Amino acid sequence: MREVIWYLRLTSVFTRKAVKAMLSYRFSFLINCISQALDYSVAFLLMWVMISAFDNMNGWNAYEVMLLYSFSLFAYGVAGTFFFNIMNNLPGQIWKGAFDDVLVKPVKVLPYLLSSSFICNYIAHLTLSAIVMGICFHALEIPVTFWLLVRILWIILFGSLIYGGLFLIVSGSAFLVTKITAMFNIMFFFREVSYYPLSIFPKAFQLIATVLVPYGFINFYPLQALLGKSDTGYWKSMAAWCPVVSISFFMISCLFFNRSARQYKSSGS
Amino acid sequence: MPLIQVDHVSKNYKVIVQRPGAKNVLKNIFCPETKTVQAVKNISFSIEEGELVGFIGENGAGKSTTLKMVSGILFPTSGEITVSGICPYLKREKNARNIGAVFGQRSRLNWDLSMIDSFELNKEIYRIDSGQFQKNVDMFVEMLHMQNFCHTPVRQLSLGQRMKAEVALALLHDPSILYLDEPTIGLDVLAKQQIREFIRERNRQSGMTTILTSHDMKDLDSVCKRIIILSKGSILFDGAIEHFKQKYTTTSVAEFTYAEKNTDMAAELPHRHLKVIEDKDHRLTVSYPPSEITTAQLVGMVSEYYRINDFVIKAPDIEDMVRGIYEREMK
Repeated sequence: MREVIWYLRLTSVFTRKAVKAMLSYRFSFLINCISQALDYSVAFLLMWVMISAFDNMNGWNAYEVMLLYSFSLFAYGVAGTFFFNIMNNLPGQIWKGAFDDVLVKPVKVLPYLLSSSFICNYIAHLTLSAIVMGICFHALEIPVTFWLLVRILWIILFGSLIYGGLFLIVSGSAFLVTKITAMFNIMFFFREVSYYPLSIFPKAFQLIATVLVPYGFINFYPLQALLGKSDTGYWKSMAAWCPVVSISFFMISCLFFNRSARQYKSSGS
Repeated sequence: MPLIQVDHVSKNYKVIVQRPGAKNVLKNIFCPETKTVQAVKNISFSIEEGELVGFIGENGAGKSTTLKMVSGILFPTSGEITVSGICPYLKREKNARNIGAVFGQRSRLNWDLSMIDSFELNKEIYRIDSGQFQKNVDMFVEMLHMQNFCHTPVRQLSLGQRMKAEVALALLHDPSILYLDEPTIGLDVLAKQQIREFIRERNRQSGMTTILTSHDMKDLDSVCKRIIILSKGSILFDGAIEHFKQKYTTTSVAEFTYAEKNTDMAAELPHRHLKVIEDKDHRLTVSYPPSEITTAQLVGMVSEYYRINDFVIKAPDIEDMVRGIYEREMK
């Protein structure tokens, strides 16, 4: 426990320094936020136009699909805040040998990387998806009660853990193969898929997105329960499994990351 | 028990060998051919507390690999290492509290912040208490003449300024061992000298053990008392720098100025290893092997033939000696 508090403190010191460093690039930061917000807004709009034209997607109407999108994006934003920089920096650090400098510090590798990688670049993602969520719940005439908010946070918590786990698996593979662009692309392909109801995909793919890479648990299964959708896809009522799946997936990812990091010590040059 | 004990350590790397030719492309992708390269071959040495040791070796001799194993970054393939009684790669975190490391070609400073900001991050990481931190910062800034650029973003510093900050950064937590991998690479004479002076001074003040690798022989000559020469993963020489000079200096040159000549020495040489290079205008230049003739003997011999006013011994350049060793090894 004292260890955890110490790493939290370290995170706050690192974050303060990172903000200070960022202030010398205020303009670039601002433009980055704006461009991301624009990017995703256009995506939301296109999706709305498309589904309105088709009326619905396997029983999901435009607002419901946009809810899927916004939950996925929000969870991605939360996970990205903690994990994106690890994935972004680690391959370069390993390639250049700068990872050695982490190993000569009296710290545990993963907690240290987490502490030093916290970023606030996801403000655009989070704000935008929160707004879209509000619009969708309003349009679907679902009253936003305290319990609904609790359920939303519950879903986002476990969704973020799954995204976090994915970030860690992609980052961890950098220790083994150095270049991770391919892994990175697969992850983003699945993210794209999670914007649509899983039940529209072939069964084999549903199986993969449920068992192998549990994307279905980020938003599809929990929202299916929340919205009372009857499209079953391959499985029924998987929502209850969310916490178990998400926590175990995250733990496996951490294990994978640590094992890969150990590999570095016997193979690094 | 010595502070650092390295016992029959080897380190192998697997590298992928690309088979040449277009028809081998698929073969290279699906069943890559690997080759084992022995970076370090069965080396053993020990270092006592407070020693200043230099590693010399051509590129790829295994200096950095050895340093990485001793500092806990890499596992050896075989053999054992003990540093202050613990195994550095198995107890990496514990070992890391006691060591400072500077790898010359890489920066550990945040380039968008000032060096003081990076110092403050290390204060947290190494759990340095505020009093000690402030004391060390003040002392290091003074010793390395860093007053002018403490608060400048690191990206605007010169290479020399940055390297001083790197060295100071590694020493803030008062490590008992310092590992320096080419700390003076690319620096100007003044910066080099200040960094060398700083390392020597820290060694004197706190008994900090230092291991450094360098291609600059002056670094080693002015900082280290002992050197270990590596070549192709094996130790060629391990001992006092003076001993090294004696062993590998084949010839030294001495220049005498004299008032009067009794007999011509060139005609009847008093020692079979002594050679006269030149003798004119009251100047005598001789060459001799220091392993065979000591300075006292030399002066004794020469003074039987000349009335000596003064003499200078031109110490052989370590660089020349090391080059000689490399060349011999390459053959």
